[in-house]
Amino acid sequence: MESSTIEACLVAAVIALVTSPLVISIRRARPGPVAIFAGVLWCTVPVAVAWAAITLRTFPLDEREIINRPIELNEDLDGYVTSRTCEACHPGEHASWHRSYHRTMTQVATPETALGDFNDRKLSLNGWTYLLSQSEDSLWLETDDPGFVGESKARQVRRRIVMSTGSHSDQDYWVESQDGDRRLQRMPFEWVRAKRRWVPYQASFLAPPDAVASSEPGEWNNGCIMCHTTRGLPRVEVHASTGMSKPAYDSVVGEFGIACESCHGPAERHVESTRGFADRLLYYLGREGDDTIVNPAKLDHRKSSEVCGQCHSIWIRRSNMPDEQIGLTSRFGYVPLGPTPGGEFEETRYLVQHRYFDPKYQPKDEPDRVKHEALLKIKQNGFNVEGSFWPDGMVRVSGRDYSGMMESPCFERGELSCTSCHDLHKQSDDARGLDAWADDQLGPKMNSDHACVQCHPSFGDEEKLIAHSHHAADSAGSRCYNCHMSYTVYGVQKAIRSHHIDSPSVATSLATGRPNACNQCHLDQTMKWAAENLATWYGSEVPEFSEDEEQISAGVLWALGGHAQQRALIAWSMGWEPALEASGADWMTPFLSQLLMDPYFAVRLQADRSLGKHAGFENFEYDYVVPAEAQTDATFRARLIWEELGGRPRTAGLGAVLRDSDERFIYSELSRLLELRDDRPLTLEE
Amino acid sequence: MTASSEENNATTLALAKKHARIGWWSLLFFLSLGMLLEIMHGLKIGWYLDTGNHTRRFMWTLGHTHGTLLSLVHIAFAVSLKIFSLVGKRPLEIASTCLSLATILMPGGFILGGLFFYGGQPGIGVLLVPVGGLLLFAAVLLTARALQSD
Repeated sequence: MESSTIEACLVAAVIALVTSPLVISIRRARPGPVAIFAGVLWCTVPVAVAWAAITLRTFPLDEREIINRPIELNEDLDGYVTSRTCEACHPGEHASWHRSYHRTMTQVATPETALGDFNDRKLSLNGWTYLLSQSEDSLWLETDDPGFVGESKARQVRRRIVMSTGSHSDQDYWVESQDGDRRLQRMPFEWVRAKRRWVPYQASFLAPPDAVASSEPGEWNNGCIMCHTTRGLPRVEVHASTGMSKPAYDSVVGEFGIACESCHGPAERHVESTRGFADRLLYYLGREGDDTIVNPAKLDHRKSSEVCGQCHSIWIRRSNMPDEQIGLTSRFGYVPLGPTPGGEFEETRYLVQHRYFDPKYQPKDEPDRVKHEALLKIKQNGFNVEGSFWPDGMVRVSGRDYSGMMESPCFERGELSCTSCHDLHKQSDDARGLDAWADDQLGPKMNSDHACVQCHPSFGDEEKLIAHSHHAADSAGSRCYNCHMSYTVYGVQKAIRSHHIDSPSVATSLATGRPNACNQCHLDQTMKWAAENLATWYGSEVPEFSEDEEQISAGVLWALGGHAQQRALIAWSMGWEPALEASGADWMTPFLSQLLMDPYFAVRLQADRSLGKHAGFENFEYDYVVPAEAQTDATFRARLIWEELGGRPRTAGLGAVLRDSDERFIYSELSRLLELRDDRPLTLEE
Repeated sequence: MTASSEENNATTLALAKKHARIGWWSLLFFLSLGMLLEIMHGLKIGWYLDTGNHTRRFMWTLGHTHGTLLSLVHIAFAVSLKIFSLVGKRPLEIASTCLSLATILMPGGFILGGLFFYGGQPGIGVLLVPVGGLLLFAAVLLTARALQSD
């Protein structure tokens, strides 16, 4: 019997029960036909009322009935129980996770969850037009039919937008498959929160201007599902009807978004073992640990960090699985389930480390040799696995912080872990609100020297700090992370601190092109100046410099002659408060205005953001999405404003920022350095 | 004392006893229900506690509290009948019936609404709650007026 039938019967019984005194009274008072009529009514009306209420109501669609997107499967969860179960006993942890951007990494797209503007917005890209709209509970994309041939006006197709990715800095959207399976196709625009606008997808990344964003159906099912859902199963199978090569996607997940069990592992055993009151009592009274669940806070620093590193690292799936298990795969292949948190990290994946691509690399044992070969093979197959690193192996792309941190001395020789600084659940003694905590999930005071002083207490002493940093104690130059975790990573439309903790080195800058912390703050100073100071303070060697490197500021050289990431980082730094304080802003405008017509979207975006922070440019109108060729006017306007402002550089070395002795800007030098620009295509795979 | 007033007194006493009995027994029932809910907390029964079953938990909590409070109203009604010696008043008999029905419909509606539910929507049993609410309103109004005119 269906539950709705039982429900109707019970409701009818209650109605009959409460009306029985009335019917009995009538039967006593008016025996005969009236009594019979009352009895018939008493029997039929409650049933009719209950039945009508059930048949007239609308029931929410069962998840299994949805066929045009991946679904949350609530059974056969292989030991996963989902956050819906965890909340009952851990409401505080659940509440902070619920506010986190981990939870909203993957959502079913509805007018409630979507951040973007879907109010009949018309967008165009590469000659195609797109209309975004919304109905009561759905989002829609209407565009030209790519398969249409003939007639003067292209036929329109209307497809439902079913899923979204992200919610912190931007939000991407996914369109339903046209093939009636759970495959998703990327919408070619994304919503940028800070600017509250739609931008072409490729405009949000550091990629060559002619790069075409992938719109291959199934990209989400093969790639995103692995890290952006909890217990995601791509389930790519050979299409049953064709029996040939057409893949069918029946992707299911335990839970959309990165939920409790992404870090704590499947919780079914834990739930069963703590269901009894006595079990919980014993646990709280000090029973040793709980081996039924992973608690990253109680793992050693290596294992604990690997939990985050499952996704926040540069890794590839092992591809030595039989084809029938791999299926029709993503570029790296997949296995049905990744390792559970706390398990063997490289069981189903290889952690990519730059040293494996060094021709002189010697594998330390047989498994290492197999890994070495696998990585080299992937590189030979044309995948840009090395592109995520600076030439010396430091990570240069965002979201791969574990790969950076694991190379740090604090991790290798100390006990640094992700949770040394980050709180994945807001602590009860953290006075900040959930919104402030959720921004980067740093613990209280962890955006200060306190993060480092935990293990290096001597630098909590002001005198020792000054003696070490050679900067005033309260200045940005004495903040540990400004020198040892400088902004050399680029991603999610901004510069990000490197999680590979190291010390400033001009020699490394010369060898790798990576800006060093000194010159990224003292943008108006030369590398020679930085190297001489480092030599005086710390005894490092002063390398040999070219004439430009000796005479022109490093910031200027990287901004004009560097490659796209150097230009983006310096453009960003020119709006960074400590750099503006250390270098002054007046001299930067000719360079930022030049970067407004840089070929890369990312560089133009950062130049615009930084320029907007300079006095006189607060209301400067500029659209970084407009192609570089059409930005000449913006550059001209910016320089005009700058000349009208009549700013004077307060730097000692005028030549370093391309000024002559009369403080006039030397445009010929700017042109000469532009000629040296490293225009080799650069793509950062975020 | 006349035969009529004795008869009225007997009727009042019978009515007061009836409501005292209903009150105490239903109080026992709803307190037991409260214990059952606590046990489900103690044993972490997902059928009741999981986020996905939030509607059930909410509805049953409401059913428990409404039932308990209505039980106390029954006892207060019985005490009022005795203290004020409210006799021979037809409205009080109607109030008595309304109060008894409300005690079934209000908590029963919440419990049924939580037994079967659809996402955030309770089952159709919850439709019994407003009917019970109206009956309770009528019972309280009639009782208050009877006390006023006494």
